[in-house]
Amino acid sequence: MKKASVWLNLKRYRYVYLMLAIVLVWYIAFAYAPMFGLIMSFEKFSFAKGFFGSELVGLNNFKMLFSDRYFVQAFKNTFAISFLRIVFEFPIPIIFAFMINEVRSKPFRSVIQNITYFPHFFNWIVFGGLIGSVLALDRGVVNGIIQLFGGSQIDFLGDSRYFRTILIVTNLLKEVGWNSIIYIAAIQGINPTLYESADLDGVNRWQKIRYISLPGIAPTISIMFILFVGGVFTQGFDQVYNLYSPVVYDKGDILSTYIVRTLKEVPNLGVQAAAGFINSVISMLFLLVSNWVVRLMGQESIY
Amino acid sequence: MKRISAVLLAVLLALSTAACSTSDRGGSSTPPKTESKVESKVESQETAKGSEEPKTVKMMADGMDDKAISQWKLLEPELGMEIEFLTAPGDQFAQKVNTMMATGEEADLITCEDSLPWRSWAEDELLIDLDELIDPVDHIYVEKITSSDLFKGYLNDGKRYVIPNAHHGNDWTMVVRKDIMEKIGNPEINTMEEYYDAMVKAKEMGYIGVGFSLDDGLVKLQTAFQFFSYFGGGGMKPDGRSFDINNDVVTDLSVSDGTKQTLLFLNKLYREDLMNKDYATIKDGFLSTYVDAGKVFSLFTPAGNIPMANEKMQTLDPSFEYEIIPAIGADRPEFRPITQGFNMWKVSLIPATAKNPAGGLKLFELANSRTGREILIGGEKGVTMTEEGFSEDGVFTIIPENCEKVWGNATGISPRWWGLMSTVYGYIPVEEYDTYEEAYANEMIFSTSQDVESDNPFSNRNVIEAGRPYGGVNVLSEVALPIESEVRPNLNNIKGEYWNKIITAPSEEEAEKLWEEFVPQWEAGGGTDYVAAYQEYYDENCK
Amino acid sequence: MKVRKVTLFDVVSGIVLALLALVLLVPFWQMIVVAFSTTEGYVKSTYHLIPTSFSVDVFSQLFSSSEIMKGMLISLINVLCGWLGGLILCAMGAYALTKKNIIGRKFIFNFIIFTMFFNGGIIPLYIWLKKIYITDTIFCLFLPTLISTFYLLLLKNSFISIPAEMEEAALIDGYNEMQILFKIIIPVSKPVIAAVSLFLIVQYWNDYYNAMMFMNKPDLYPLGLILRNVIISKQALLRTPVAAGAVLPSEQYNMALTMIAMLPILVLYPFVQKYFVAGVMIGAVKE
Repeated sequence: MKKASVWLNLKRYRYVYLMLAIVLVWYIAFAYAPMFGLIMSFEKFSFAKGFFGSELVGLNNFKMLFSDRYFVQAFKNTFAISFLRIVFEFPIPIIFAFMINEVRSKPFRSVIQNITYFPHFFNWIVFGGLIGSVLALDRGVVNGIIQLFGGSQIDFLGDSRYFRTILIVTNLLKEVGWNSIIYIAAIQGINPTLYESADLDGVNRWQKIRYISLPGIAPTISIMFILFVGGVFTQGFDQVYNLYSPVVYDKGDILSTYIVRTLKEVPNLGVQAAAGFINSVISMLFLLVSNWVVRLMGQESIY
Repeated sequence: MKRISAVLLAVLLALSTAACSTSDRGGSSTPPKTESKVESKVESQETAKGSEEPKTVKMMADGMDDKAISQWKLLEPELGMEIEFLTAPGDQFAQKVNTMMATGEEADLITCEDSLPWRSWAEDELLIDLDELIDPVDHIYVEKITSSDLFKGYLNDGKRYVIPNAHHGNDWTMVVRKDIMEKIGNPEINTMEEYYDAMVKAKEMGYIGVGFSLDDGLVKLQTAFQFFSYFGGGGMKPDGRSFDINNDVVTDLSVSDGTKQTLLFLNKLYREDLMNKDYATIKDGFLSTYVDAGKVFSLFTPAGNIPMANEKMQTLDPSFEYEIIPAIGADRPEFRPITQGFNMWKVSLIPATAKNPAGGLKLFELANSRTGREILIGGEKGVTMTEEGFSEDGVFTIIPENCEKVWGNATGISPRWWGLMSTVYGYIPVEEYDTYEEAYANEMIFSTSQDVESDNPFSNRNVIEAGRPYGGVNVLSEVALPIESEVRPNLNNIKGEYWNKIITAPSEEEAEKLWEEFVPQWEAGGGTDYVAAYQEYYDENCK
Repeated sequence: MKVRKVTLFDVVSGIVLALLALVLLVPFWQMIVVAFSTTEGYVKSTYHLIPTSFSVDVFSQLFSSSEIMKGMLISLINVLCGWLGGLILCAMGAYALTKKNIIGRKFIFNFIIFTMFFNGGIIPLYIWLKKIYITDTIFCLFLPTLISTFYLLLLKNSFISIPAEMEEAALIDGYNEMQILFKIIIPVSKPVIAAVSLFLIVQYWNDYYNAMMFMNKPDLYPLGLILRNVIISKQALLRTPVAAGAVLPSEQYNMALTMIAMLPILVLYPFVQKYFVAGVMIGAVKE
């Protein structure tokens, strides 16, 4: 751009630039500035020497992590659980949104919706305790029902075979309502005339969903998909932390809980920073892959 | 791709601008500044006495809620300074202290577990060398405990950087339900077989033989081990040191045959439904679900918990009652009386970046002096205890209604006398003895007059008396070598994985097989080096 | 629309949804039952579904605790600052990004988006906040998370759909963009503003993470962290010799504390509810 027009632009939009500047200052101060702390991952960190004075140890911190078989276990678990979440926790709110949308009785729909929003407001410390009490041996409702039907009790939270399932199911119960809001809203945003002309053509309910609703909310699904996949690797700490116990570490321990539990007494903070770095990098990879997948399917992506 | 490169460029730009503006703050100018700060502070204390004395002491400790804070604030008049409190949630505390030390926090006194890497901190000059601060007269307690033989393992290069906090590890005990015992015919419980039979009988009546709950791995298992020292598996601090020394050979109890037998026994109990199968997942629901509901026949618990448990159970049925029974196998010749096997648990230290290190030290000294202990345990004269305060032999009278109001309980246990700088419900009379060891052996345990009159079996005096045979230590129990922070987390992970698997194994063969896997894993995971390091230390210093 | 027949699908779907709602009600109901039971009632009851006793003891305990009251105050301040500050900054950023003629618009957009998915990690953040003297002050509770890129984008999408004529008219009248934002854009976007406000208020009221990481002074703890501590410390107390008489918080106390912590949100919720579905719709659908 020519110098004169740049200057004109700045002058004309000066209040916009001002607003942008304020916002950008925050981003630099609180989002980007801490990022250069990533150098810690490559150092034997010592506060006295600071970020730039500490001894660089290259990939040592990372080597240390990967030679710890419990780190590797947590690493694998995080992948496995993330994939499970993508397969189950992502589509189900969409299905739920459709189901809600098909309900014709307004009061019934409203009641169901409001009830399903509630659990979102619990945090996992409390919700974890409630789940624990519902799934408990002897006095948990679930085991009570199982015994009623003649089965024997199951220690859900203490059994590695069930733990991942419990993670998925309880997270769904907690969030399906809240997460479906955006899809319900998107479905309602589709032009009703499309449905009306479909009715005239004698199209049935399923065909409507397939040819009108789904394509109509495809942009929403795409964006939510990218956001979901981009975040799934690093999230979930609260839930796992409040539900897990030593007997399920082999299948349930994830990177964030491993870091908090094991690394808290390691003097070289560089190791923790390295673990956090790995977490962030993988997360970014997930994001980029999902973005690419969405592009591939012909939908609008973030990049 | 173009967009991604644009983003990366953006990141680089941002990073470099941010780096430029902060390099002078995070740079290498800090070490000389810190050192000179400390030196000048110490100098100013000595040379300018009475003039510019700091008015606040910043103290960092676990579990400082409102009630605890008000308790500690009672020390302020004696101290002559205001106390500021820093804390972190219990499960984050170790992490927080580690981060704070690594980032130069300005606390004047920090109390934390000795498993934190204080040796690294000492070597990185993040701690104050206490030799420069301790005055043998002003700080008689600190002087005696830090120069004692018992704790010489806490020196770093011969210098003092941490102060061990006095500890009573002896108050875990075994209890059984008196009323159930009567129902099953008051059997003798002196051997494991007899204990097992009693549990089976209790199970037939619908009770759980023995109740357990883990929370962060192995903590409650340790108590089982104490009383299964029948197998010689006793005496461990599962997340800490647990050595046995025989004929000058150091072995770690974690991989001993005694531990194996104990684990196999626990596995048997688990398989036969004699223990609560959700021991690993029930966490803090344990007491209210099982104990208070009167469902458990026997239990390993701090003696202090028992009156409370009894009270809660008795709301259901007044005949429910736990009573203390002696450890199983105590009469056997092979009995090894090692509970917890250690004399301390936490350390207190002063970071190099403290603003008022002398104040921090003074606070610690006060907290362990007779005056300080009286205030921390008894509270305020005329409020929680009577105006007369403490008698010569450490007895004081509580005013129950006020205790209820101020402390939330009517039995006279102040909120934070325990675990912070000392777990001795009393004080250690260092003025009267030459060495710390002698003073500790002659410690004075306080008691409320109400407990003395009623001869409450669960009063601290009685409980500690009952625990005394199990207070044995060996020369290595108070030694903390640098290798601790290197291998400890991994060894804990290995123990956690295998011990829990062994206990929950579906058959005895499976349990044995897991043990056979565990030992080489432990050794390879740092265990061999660990024992070797301590053996070396023992050979050089203790033979 | 024509009335459809009730099909098998409708019936099955209705049952599934009803069951789901029932299942979700169980923990919520249990919380209420336990909070209002006596100790005896709690111990005697196995499933905690049918209230057998009644007591408001724990509630009076809670309200007389200065720690809890202080925590509420801190949380309130945190919410006000986080909500207003966050809303204003997100709105400013969102509006600025709708202006197509800004130089470096794409670059700034990418700059902002990148932060959604990559960060330096919590330890570097702690160290950095310490260096700029924010830790242990009330600012550490909301400043580090003040701008949410997600909400910024949501607002941006909603602002784009506002007819340009409104802005042009205002510009002609001599208003600058900042004034336009506050006098026109925001009032017109009530639904999405209400939605984002609800999300922000919920987030800051419940938040304990920032406090847990950055706040070491117990008298500046927000309610969320106090709640967490009560529950966690109970777990810690259980493995230490509590010593005769020391009182563990009972299960009822925990539940009552939880109820109180949730109360403001649940009270607000019905008022905002009608807005936020519409708000989210406007924000999300227009891409």
